[in-house]
Amino acid sequence: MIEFLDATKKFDDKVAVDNINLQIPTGSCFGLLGSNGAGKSTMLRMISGVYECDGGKVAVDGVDVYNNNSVKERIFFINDETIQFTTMTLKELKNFYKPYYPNFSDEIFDKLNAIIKLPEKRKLSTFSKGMKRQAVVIVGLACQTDYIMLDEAFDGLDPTMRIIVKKMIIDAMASRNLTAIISSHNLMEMSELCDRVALVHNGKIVFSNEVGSHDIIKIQTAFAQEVTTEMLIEQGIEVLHFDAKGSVCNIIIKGEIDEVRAKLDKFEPSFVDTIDLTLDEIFIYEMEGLGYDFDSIGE
Amino acid sequence: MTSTQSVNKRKNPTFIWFKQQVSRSMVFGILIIILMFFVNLLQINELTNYAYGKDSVIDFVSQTAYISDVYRSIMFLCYLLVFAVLAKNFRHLYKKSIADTVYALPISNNQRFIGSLLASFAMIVVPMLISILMTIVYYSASTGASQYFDEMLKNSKITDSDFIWVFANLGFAQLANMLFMFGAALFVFCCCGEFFDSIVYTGVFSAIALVIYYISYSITQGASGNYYWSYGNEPMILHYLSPFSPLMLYSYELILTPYFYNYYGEPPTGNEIAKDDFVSYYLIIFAIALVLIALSFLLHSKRKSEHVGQPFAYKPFYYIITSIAFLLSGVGFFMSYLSTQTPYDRTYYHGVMITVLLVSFFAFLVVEVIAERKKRPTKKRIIQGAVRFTAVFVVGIAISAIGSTIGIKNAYDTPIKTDDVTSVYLSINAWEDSTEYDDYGYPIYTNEIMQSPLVNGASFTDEEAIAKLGAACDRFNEMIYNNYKNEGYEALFGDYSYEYDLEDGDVMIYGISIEFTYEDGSVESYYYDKSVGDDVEAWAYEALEDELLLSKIVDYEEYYR
Amino acid sequence: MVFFEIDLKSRTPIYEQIYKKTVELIIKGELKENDQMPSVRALSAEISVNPNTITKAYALLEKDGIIYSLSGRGSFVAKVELEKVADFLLADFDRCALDALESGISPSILVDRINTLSKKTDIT
Repeated sequence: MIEFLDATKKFDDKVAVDNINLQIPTGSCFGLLGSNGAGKSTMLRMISGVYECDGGKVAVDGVDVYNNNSVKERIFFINDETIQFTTMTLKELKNFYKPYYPNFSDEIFDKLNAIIKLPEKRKLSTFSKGMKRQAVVIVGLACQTDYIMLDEAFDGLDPTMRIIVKKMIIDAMASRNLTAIISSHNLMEMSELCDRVALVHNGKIVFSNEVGSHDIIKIQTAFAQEVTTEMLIEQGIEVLHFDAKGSVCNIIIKGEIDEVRAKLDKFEPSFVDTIDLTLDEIFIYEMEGLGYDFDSIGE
Repeated sequence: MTSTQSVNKRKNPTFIWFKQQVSRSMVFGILIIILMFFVNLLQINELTNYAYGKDSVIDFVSQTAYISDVYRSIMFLCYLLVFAVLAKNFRHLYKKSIADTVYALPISNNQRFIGSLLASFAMIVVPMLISILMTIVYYSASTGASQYFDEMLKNSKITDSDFIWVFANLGFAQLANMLFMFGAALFVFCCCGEFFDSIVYTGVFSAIALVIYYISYSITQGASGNYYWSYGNEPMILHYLSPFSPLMLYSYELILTPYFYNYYGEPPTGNEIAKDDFVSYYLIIFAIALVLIALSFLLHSKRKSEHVGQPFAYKPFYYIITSIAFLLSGVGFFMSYLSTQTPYDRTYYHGVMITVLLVSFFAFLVVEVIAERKKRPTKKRIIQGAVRFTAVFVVGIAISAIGSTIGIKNAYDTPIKTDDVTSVYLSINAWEDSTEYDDYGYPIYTNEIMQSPLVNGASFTDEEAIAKLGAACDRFNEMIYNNYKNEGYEALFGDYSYEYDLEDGDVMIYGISIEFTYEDGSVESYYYDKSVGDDVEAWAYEALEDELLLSKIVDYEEYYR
Repeated sequence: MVFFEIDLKSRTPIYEQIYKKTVELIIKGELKENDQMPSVRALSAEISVNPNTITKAYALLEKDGIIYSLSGRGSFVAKVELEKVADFLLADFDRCALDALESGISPSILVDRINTLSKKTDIT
């Protein structure tokens, strides 16, 4: 398990990560969502031991990461930048990482490369961006660390590559209980792959939940009488969004479903249906709820 | 899922890193071997060519200026290679894309440092030693011309050490300086987070030696001027301060010229001299290099990934470097002021002064802007910077002025210590406007003054003669010093343009050179001309008739006619 | 041969889809009582879904008594009573029916439609 305990990271005056408390369970695929500069890359680097906390600490299975080689051996960090590897061949890249990680497996590396068939003896500068990322991913997976961090995991990958990389990660999770932490802008990928996500904004965790369980619900209902947002709010219902078509209303509410149902009963609805929200919608409504216009956050 | 897995045996990360860095800088190491071997061969061949037929080392040394230039250019290339090795092995200090990747690896800062350092040594020290070895082997294996060099050294009774020893000394001096440069550059690299800044500030950092050199030069050379010149008593500290120190560029002559110093006296046994002077030189340089490397280790252990991309990783270093730059401006300004005191085209030099002043302000702007380019300029910072600049600039001027004052006092306000003088050389500079020339194109002098040994240069070892000349110098020095107190620096620069209206057969005495050689081998040389005072010429005419002097001449240069 | 098809674009969370699909297969008779469910690992590899998601689905299925697990052996289909799962399966039906009724379609038309459909699918 990875824990952020009151963790803070500053760069000069700017606070990149602001007193975060977060738990990432072992064996999960954890997604970090957020706009550029939100702090997710910083968080990944704090876990990987690249940055030292200015306040609090980041612990992997209870042990502080920074400058601790025995912990770092269990973590593989995949940078969003690939420029540092362009002069290497895939073989050299493998041999760069291999000696540092005691569990590196050539068999797994070969097996993974058999799927994507990257040339081993050509310089990475001749690879496309997606191929470069894939190269680092298979090296990382071959290191067989307990934890793997992917910063901007799917950036530059075409749809086929995405599916392949996703599958590789899932296989590793299933076979050796790999914990993967992924930051991405691509909400779709996150919701497919991750079982838990956290939304990061301005260095703080806005929400952190299992995918598919959250306290934002979308309700479709019909009332006999005219019902307005204000009336609902008066009853203590936290309305994020209200949309009425005829007498059928679509309401986005923040709260517990049973509580909300009880409150809605006062208005004598003819039916109350809950509709599942996609991760995109959760993202939008949470941010709107914070008072942000979704456009201004954008990528 | 997986059947057999090949599990890595745990290796020390330092060793892993070391191997990776060695392969990165391997190409430079090989280049160093080749270049150094080439330059050493070049040296041997040229040396032996020049050595042939020469009986004295002085003759030899004076001829080798040419080869020194070639040698120095190639050495400079090797410096660049050293720099390249350093830059390659410590990329994680200034390349942002590498920094994060490397800091995520299970290897600590200290392990990285040791690994990179050892790799750099492997690609610098080892190649240097190999090339020295190769040279000595080559020399020992070759026959013929190189033996002339040995013979020359032996014949001149300068030393009974042979070429191998002299050359090994040279090789280790080269190595010491490479390491020095490496240490200084490494120190700067560990303080900076950008490649550009590392290079520029290595230069600035090294330039502090120039300042110290200039100040010491002022002190020992009487603050420049035409009347005083000394040799052999420069503070040796100069040699230890900079990768571009005289020891490196002139190690060639320096290794041989201790023999030169003692030429006028009893020849010392060369082995002792070689051992004493040079072992201590390069041991001290090695020591300084080690100190710099140790400091670098400390700084490096505190380096963070986020330092990469910032010009300065540590604020104190920013202050040190910018202050050195400002100090240089101040000293430069004073230098240019001194140069306006020469009798030649003063307006030109005044222009230089203004230029230096402008350049200094520009340096301030540039340094402040460059060093702080990643941050937004604030009024407060610029004002603070301007204040600091002015203060350090003034300090630069002040220490230059003080150095000059001390130097002038040493030169002209200190009596000659005639007790320590072993020999003195006198040359009365006279000139006859002759109209006849011989078959070779040389003028034919008719006046007997021109044939006097004192006119062509004579040496004395007799105590009385030394005392007499010493007294004359003290007197003239007092005159110069008074002139200086009245007129300022101008008085130290004699006017070389002489008006003359000579008739056929008349001789004009335009100056006197007196040179004292001391027990320790150092030399002080004085020159007096008419602008010092009329007494000079009068004394010269008296000296030409002086019986004591004429009788005590031990050596003189032949009147070449 | 068990075949799960997951619609990644759907609003329905993946674990819910697995849950529903399992129930569907059981009702259709493709999964019979005491049949072994695919292991989390195998299923995760087959349909490229996060094993934790599958674990969650299985946990829910077990909680609702649709499957049971024997430690060391895996998960197996339990005896399913159709009534228990009826509400769950019919939630979509309810929503669509309400929509239709709201739009003015009369109940009798809906009943006719159901009868027509059942003749097509051959299920009684």
